[in-house]
Amino acid sequence: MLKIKEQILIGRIRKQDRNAFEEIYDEYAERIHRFLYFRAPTAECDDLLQEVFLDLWDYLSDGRQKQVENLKALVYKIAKNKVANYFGEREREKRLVELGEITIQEESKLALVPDGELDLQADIQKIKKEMEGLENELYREILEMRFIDELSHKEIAEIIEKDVGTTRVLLHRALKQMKEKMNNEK
Amino acid sequence: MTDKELLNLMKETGRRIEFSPVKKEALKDSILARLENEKSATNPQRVPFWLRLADTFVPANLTLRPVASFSLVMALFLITSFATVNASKNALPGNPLYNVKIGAERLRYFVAFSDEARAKASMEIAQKRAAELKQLMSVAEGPNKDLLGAVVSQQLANELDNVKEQFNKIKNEEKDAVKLAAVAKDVDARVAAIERELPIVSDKNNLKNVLAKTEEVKFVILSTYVDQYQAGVVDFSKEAMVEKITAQLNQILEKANKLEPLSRGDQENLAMAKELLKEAKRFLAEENLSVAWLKLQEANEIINGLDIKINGGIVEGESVEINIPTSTPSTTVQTGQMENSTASGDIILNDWLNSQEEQSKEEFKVEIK
Repeated sequence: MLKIKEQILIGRIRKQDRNAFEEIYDEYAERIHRFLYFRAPTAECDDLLQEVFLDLWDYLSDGRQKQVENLKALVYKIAKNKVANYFGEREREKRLVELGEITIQEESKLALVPDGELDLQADIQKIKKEMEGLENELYREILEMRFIDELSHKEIAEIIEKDVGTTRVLLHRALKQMKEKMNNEK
Repeated sequence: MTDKELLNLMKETGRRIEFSPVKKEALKDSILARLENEKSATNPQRVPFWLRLADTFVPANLTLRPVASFSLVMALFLITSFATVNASKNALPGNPLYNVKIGAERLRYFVAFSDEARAKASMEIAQKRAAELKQLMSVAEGPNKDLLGAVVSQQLANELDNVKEQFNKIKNEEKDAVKLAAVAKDVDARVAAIERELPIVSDKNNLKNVLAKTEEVKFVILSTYVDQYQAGVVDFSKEAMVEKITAQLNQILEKANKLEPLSRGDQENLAMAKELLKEAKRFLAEENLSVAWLKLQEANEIINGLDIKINGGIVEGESVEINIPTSTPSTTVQTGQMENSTASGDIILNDWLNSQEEQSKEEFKVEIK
């Protein structure tokens, strides 16, 4: 169930109140930025963040949409879909590069990393490499949401649309699989 | 790198990802600017008649308009239909007033303002369905008895599903553990009351789905008891908790023993589930309830997945995902479209149920979302 404050803010957004939307942005921007930063190229984060919040505005301001049960889960779900769509687009662009239909300049923009963040990026790549060994995509997602995004079981359950008990079991299995994988590699 | 080192690196890396206040404000400005520049939607927002009506009675900035408008609709309904609703209280399926009775119940459900109130409304509706089923099955044989029995038992199963859903929401949201414990005990008692009624119903075919649903609700309740026992909130003794979990374990084992898996993969999974139940039993004997419960949950998930796969009983077009633990040698997550294995009568039944719901909506002009 939504907190009272969130209910009120959403009610105001339905009336196109931008100030209410600003409050929601202030609340969630940093978390969504972290979510996107870990998963998408750094250079794309700003654009993706804007897209997430624009989509959120469209959803909340549309009176025909069904009632929001959990705002935090909704914001994360939109972010998750944005990342998935981004990589879907990127695959298509890679194919176009192979076909010579995109210039080298555009291709290099796709892999741009700003100065001063190389250590952080290196650690992120290290983590992703280790996680690649996990067979189940859902396990990777849950581990990332739990340990990178520091979401609770309940929040993760809402985002992946499963109940809390199942989420706990999946996390337990993900940790077990990771441990087995690391032990096998020693 | 060990798994612990990796998890620590993940936590630390997450916290190192910074979002500068300057950038945060700049992006906010950019978003707001884009909103200003966007064209407004070509279709104006549709405001339902009853919301506009509520506007005249409720201040514009109050976000409880939907609540106020539901109250308005309910008040109008009560004034004009009190006598009809009163007369429909004891109506059974087949009686023309049965629709009125169902409509009144759904209205009571939809105007409930909290998950607890909705759970209570659902439980009361479920208890009524159970009583109707018992009454229906005890009357003399009639041409529509089987179909009507199937209708009511399906409705009962649906209500129990609703109860489970509402209770899960309460469980996730309710911060007051004592209140949660009280709700859990209330639902537990009502489900037990329904179960006591059911054996009297002679038609076992109708019961299968209902019994499955009562088991699901009881599992969720027990899960709450386990969490609350560990938190020191619920007042059950250790022996009582062990007894409850053991009873659940035996029931899951009984279900597992009835399964007849065909594929080798399914046989291995069933064996693994039984092994988990054995481990759960061992931990129960050592009074280690938390680990026992974890093992039991895992086993339950596997067995439920296998049950759906082997015995069918799901609606046509519904996909089934079976999560297979990765400790088995060859594991995949399987999804697929299962064929509707129920008889053609169930298709007629579902159509009948849908038409009743549509009719109720139309009669009382309530927008049910």
